[in-house]
Amino acid sequence: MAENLIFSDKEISFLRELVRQDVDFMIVGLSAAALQGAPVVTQDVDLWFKDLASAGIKKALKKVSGVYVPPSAINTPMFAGEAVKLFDIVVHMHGLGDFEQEKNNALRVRLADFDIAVLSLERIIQSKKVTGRAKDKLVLPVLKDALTAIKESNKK
Amino acid sequence: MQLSLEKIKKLCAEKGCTVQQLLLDSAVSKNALYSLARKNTIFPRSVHAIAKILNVPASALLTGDSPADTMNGIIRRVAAITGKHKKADPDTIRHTLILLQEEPLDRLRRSLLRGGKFNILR
Repeated sequence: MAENLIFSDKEISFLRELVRQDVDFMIVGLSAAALQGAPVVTQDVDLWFKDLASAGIKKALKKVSGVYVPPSAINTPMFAGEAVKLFDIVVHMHGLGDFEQEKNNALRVRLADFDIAVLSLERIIQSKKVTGRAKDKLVLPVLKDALTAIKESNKK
Repeated sequence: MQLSLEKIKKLCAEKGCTVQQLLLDSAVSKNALYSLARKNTIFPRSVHAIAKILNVPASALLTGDSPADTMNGIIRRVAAITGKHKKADPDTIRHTLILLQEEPLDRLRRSLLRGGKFNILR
């Protein structure tokens, strides 16, 4: 099992509370790809929220002593606090449909004792193709091969 | 417990491959397969002797695959997948198959742990 010191109880508590508060969100980006089995590395966990003004987000943050930092001229919206420092807020996914459309096709992945919505690897690949940044182009072959391996494994 | 050629043929048909292709991918000779299939039991006689004293079937003495068996299984699956998908990178396929044996949370932790150290493919 991988090292437990990273993404431990405090991060899991925040996600559990978001689910408990019925906040509409899903994990996207490379952390979503990693959850599905892609051998990629990432520094953060991207959370795509339907509505950043949701009261449930504030309640979940309060539960883990985190705070919401609103966007300004020099920063995008973000969370601050020990329990939430690994999470990045996503407000738009390039090359994809709106939140509702994508959520309908999201996977449900078991984390600890609850299920969480995770953007599928196919849609992560689609988004990275459209975004087209150097780092996206670099990781695309890995994501595509991982998808091949996962699909072949599911045939078993 | 006998090796069933019928079952192998049926599984091949389900996977859309021939027995010949299976033998090629798994690096098993035709002689080895048919020799095993001819035996009344694939267990050594000593295993049956122990099972008989314990009054259990020989299969009850088995445990999970050893790490080497698991890795050999993965290597065979990598060969099968890259045989079908010629452009796929064998290392990526292998790492993915290994990660698929872990829980999602452990996969994520592994990814974050490595990302924290090397900051690549972020």
